[in-house]
Amino acid sequence: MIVAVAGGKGGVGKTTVSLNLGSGLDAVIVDGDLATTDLPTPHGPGIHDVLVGRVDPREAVERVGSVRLLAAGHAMEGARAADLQRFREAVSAIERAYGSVVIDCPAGLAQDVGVFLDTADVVVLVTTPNTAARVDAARTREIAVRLGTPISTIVVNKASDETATGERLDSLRTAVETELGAECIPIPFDPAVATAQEDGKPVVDVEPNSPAVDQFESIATRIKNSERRLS
Amino acid sequence: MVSIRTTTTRKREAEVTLVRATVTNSRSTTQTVTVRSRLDGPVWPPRRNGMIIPEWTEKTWTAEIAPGECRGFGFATPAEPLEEPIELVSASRSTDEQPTSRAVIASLEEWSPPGIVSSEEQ
Repeated sequence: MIVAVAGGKGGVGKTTVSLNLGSGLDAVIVDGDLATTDLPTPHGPGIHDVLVGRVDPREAVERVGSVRLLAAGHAMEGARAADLQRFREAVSAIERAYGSVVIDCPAGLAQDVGVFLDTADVVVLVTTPNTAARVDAARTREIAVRLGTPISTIVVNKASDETATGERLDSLRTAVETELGAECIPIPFDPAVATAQEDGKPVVDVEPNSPAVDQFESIATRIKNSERRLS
Repeated sequence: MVSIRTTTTRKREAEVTLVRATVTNSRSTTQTVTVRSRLDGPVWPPRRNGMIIPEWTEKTWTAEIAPGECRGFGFATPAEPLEEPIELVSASRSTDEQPTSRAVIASLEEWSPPGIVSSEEQ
């Protein structure tokens, strides 16, 4: 099962969702942000080495705390030489070896994101209540649909009871579900989520009682259910 | 079914034949249609930015046509015109998603990592 975590806009919390979902699904998190990663950087070989064919993808997976990661780091030379066509093979090899993969997609909607969305079995769209973020999520959704990859869940990050746009949580959920055509799971704003992210850890490792933990668990459950439907 | 209509013009002074065609898909599913020039000479297909448009391979033209849709194309050839310059090679329900995915990805902005990563981004 390969899950792409995407959203278009930067700063909406794609990496946070990837990290927590990777933990919940016991998946390998593959850092798709080959240029400007927010995930921990590799200690050994990273995805750049895999994409230029220097290293077997399975050997580049490392354990960072409680999660497994194929990290990118900031190796710009590697990013230039990286071959996106190899990405699909690398991710499939990791899926066969480890079971599940979560791809943390970069911001924007260039060909790298296209390849990641096409490689995935399902997409988790990430947005915030912000209109610009929702518009970008809708564009990402459109590309995923054209590539034939279904949207499993929409995560609305940094959602509070009364959101910045003045929408109440219920009407926000309804609006997002109508705009983006899949079930919406809001993640309440919680400083523990940001703190955990800064340490490169899922929130369950830092603050197991955070309300975000339950929400991330329900996203993982939804994906596991859709895996049963797809297989 | 898939139907073809053609118009042929011979430019005597230039010794070139211009063929225009429309292919209509009246089936209820998207069809991958391949047609071929029957003319006794090479096909000179149109070019876009200097590249032969992707539908053409030598004398055959292949394209996906949505239900109820019609697509047009044309080419030049030095050959003499015939009453039926184009023949249908095959029409089958489109199932192969690979070229479609490739086309969708190709339509996106080209990917290149930034040359310099600022310290803020790191």
